[in-house]
Amino acid sequence: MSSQKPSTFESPLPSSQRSSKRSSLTSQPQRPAPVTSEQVKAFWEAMQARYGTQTVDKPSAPEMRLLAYVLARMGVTDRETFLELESTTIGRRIYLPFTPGIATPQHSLWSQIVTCVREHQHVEQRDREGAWRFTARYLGDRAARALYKADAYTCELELHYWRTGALLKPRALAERLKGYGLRDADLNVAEAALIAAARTVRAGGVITSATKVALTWLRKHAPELGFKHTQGGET
Amino acid sequence: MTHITKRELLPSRARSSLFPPLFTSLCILLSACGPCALCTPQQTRCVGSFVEVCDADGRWRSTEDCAAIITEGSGPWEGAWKCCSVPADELGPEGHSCVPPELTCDGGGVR
Repeated sequence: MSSQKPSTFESPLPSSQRSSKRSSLTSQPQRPAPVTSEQVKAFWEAMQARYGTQTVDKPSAPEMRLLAYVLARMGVTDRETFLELESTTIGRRIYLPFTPGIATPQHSLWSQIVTCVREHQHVEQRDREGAWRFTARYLGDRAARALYKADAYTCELELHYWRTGALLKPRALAERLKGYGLRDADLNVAEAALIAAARTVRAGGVITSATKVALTWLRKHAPELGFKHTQGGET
Repeated sequence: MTHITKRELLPSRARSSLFPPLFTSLCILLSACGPCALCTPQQTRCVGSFVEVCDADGRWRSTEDCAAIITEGSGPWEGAWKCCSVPADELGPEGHSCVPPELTCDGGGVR
């Protein structure tokens, strides 16, 4: 249930299902407004209130330091990557390698919003399936874990599209799952799921529950962060 | 004393016609436990309003519920999205995805 920040982007627009709503998108879309520290703090507070979650400073949490040591010894991931770059959600505790609202070279303000939604999608998954079933499948079934992660990364697709009008590459997102003890076949399946999700997002759909909650807040409190706002369209 | 095997109780034609459906039924029953791979990994399909993808162990898993999708930037309900087959494009090979209410989806895919 931990994730790194995104890396690769795909140039805008699609082919077949291109909606007329998107026709105003030019080859050089205007940049949406920069994110402010206050917006990030308020967004995290709203999401935490909605889901009943709490954040914990990951690098200083003893349980995470122990887990980092174990994972490093197992060769799954190195200690610094796990503690300094990745977020981890266990139950309703979200372990963060940053303080919401304080940008760092590794964690931009926008990426902090994306992380918030992605980690809360894991909370949605746990609520939907029940804590025991979710935990057992996440830890014990690699094929299931790949699709839980793909579902959470769908939030990134959705938010990036809302902000820029462009799609993240499904393969690049799937490649980021390599540190989760998955087989190559699992990554390929995650990519297939993300391709399906990307087509839905491109057609204007919002799939994940956490993104629906997030966009409701963003449209109300920070519509200028979305690309449609800068295009003169609805947000 | 003549020993009659189980095979001899059924004529060969009956055996050959019964085996495929029996095997398929058994596989379907056991598929929930995983021993029979019923699909090819990365395959997709529509089951009702759900998009399903075949996982690495050959089991179908739901990934999107089209009925629960909302249209970004519009009212809460503009008609139901539906699962439909879609052609290959720059995102990937042909597969299945949720499509908006205004698009028509028939057996041949989205139009």
